[in-house]
Amino acid sequence: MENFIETKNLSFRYSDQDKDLILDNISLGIKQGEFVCILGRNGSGKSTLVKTFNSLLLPSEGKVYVNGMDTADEKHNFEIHKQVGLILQNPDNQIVSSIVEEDVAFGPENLGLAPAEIKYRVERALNIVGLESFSQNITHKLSGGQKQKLAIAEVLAMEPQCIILDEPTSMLDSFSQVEILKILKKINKKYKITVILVTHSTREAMFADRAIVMEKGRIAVDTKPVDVFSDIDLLNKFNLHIPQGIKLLLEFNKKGVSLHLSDLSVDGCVASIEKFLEDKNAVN
Amino acid sequence: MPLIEVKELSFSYEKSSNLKKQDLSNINLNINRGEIIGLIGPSGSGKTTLVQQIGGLLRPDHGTVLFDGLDIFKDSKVFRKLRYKIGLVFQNPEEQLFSETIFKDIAFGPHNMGLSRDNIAKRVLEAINFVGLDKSILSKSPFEISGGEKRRVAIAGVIAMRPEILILDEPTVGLDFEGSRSILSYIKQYNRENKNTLILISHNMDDIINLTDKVAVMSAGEIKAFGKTGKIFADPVLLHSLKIDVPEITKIMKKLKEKGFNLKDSVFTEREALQEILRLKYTI
Amino acid sequence: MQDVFFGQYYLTDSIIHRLDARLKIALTLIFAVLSFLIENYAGAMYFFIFVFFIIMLSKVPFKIYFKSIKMVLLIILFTSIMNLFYSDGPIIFAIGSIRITQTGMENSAFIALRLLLLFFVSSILTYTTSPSEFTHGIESLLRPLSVFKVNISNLSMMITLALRFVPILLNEANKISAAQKARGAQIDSGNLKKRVEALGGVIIPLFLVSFKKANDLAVAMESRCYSCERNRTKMKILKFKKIDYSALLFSLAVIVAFLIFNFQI
Repeated sequence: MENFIETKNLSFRYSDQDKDLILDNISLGIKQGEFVCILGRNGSGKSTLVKTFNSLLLPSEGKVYVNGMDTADEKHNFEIHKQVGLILQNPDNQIVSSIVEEDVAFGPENLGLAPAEIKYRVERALNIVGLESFSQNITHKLSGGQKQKLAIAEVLAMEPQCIILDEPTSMLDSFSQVEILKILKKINKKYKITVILVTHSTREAMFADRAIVMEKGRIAVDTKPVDVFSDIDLLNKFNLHIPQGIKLLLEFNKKGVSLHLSDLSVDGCVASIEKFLEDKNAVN
Repeated sequence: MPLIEVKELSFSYEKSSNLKKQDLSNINLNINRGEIIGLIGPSGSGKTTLVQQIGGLLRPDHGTVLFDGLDIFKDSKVFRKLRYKIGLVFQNPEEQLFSETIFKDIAFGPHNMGLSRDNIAKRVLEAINFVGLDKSILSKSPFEISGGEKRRVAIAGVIAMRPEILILDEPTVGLDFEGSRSILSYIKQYNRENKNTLILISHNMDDIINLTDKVAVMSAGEIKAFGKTGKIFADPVLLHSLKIDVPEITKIMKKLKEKGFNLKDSVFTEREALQEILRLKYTI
Repeated sequence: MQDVFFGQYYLTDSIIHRLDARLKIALTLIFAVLSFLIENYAGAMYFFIFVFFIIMLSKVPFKIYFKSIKMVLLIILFTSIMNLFYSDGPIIFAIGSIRITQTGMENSAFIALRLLLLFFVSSILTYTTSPSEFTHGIESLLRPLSVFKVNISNLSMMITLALRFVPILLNEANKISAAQKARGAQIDSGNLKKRVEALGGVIIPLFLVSFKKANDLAVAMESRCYSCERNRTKMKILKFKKIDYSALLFSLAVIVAFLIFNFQI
């Protein structure tokens, strides 16, 4: 299958005078339908990278292709924006209108669609994120979590092939975080929309199928999330948050007990510990 | 005598009668000198509103706030005296930086206190040290430095006033793992060296469990529970009803208990978890 | 943080809410002008009755209107009191060089009445019209101006965004102001010098925050295919319904009757 997003020797610097490369010779392919998370410390280039995926930022060197279209070619801008939606950290700054349904309608209105089609898309988008009963509400009175759901609805109404999110939950409490991630998972699995998520959170990264770790503008690791988070050296090297399940595993290791964790979720840890406790043959 | 006493405090942003939503209802809270208090609860529960009352920035509709026995709202003379004893660091404090140099920004508080030039300089140096920044940064503009550094500068600006009680509203939100860790370690060290009182608002339960002596749980404008951190987090029914997230370790232990293993479930760290599991395994 | 601030949309279902925004805007302007033509108490009374009738139809509770009145009361009082002292005519009361005349009192009363009516009429408009309907209405009414090369669509986008961001920026200003007060900034106390100093601590961060928001917003809008050149469609189309025609006829009748009432007696 062809890559939906493809970068070839992508490098980026903010201005020609800048010696520092924010992105350094990145060649990467993301297929349609993948759920990718991008990790790395602040300054590693994660945000910059994803902003080249919807032609918000153009490569200083190299190329970025979205569904075969070269992002550097202006005539593709409109189509690229239609196919790739972008959601940033602060939901407040993305909301255009004072009323929820009018805000979601903004995107389809820009596409020049007929009123009936716009109404249909707005209702559908609000339904998917669970805000259907809020359609007449005033946007600035929504909670943080609701605002981010609204931001997702705004993008969904464009019927994109791919959604990029740059630390969408960093300002939200943990319950809202999980809600948002579940919506993203649903969008990915049910509607086959590619999801690219930039995050610091281990818990969120575990929702993805693929984890890319960036360091100093380069891709350092590209594998499954569980492989990233069960590698303690890797986590320390890139200063990533160590999940508690792994910390527990380390404690067991220190006592000479080897506990196998293939799944870092709570249930996965419970299963492994259950096995350990029930295994009559295990000797200290 | 407690350092801070909040007595039957009620407050509503919306002052007119019928549409009124009580943002704070009948709050009673005593904070003793030297304690580190955690303030947790879902978004919108009133945490920020409450600390603004304690910090003297919002006047309660009913009830009082006493600092060392004095009513902080009683008269402006008393208020001005107490203003600098209560230090309040807001969410995203880096957004409030405005001076030409970092030195001047940190000096803003001490300058308003009417201190001598020498004293101000001494305090600025002291504060910048506490947040782990080098004094060479003082001559730079606040807008030249990174987001994490800006936040530390903002915190330094409050510490420079040498408040007796320091209130931090979500100090780690939006930072990466490294950034969060360093801010918390500075806070911990600051508290250890100065033996002052601390109120910490956070969504991160690991931070709350690691740092605080007591925790107050808020919901819908009321304090639903207040007590020793260990005790509060050991009450699963309460936590679930208030939508408080518990650490993953605690979830794992609870699920194991539900499966029939006779394990203590008020466990919050990996080490404790290991001890409990090994205890069960080897004492049959 | 304010729940229902001055001029904000109040969501409920009423005849007035269902009326076409263009009709409401046009009628508001006409009635605003008429309110300044009131010559006598009968005219004023007639007008007030009409306005209260519409307020009742709007199903927006009276207390909402009265809450907002508090803000303009000061202006109304000030204006009418000024008129008390600066009119000619038979003197009723005098202290030294300050005289209060009969005409003065009448003028004063009428000014207060007119401003109140103006306030009520415009409140009805803003409480019963959603921001986007309002913007659509203005856009539609201003469309003839496009002859003069004025880009109406962009103008209405600007109005929408302004309406949207006013509460946000107010909120930010409050937050920044509180943070600086916490460091001892004397924003609403102390002498003038201190207050100006303190104001810098609010304005500069507010500027910066606004720029960041504007930048993020531009990115968001561009990402959702907003383009100044392309033609946008609308989800809600303004179309005159039966109820609008009825309201128009009714209003015309009221206007004619008022003019007769007002200028005859």
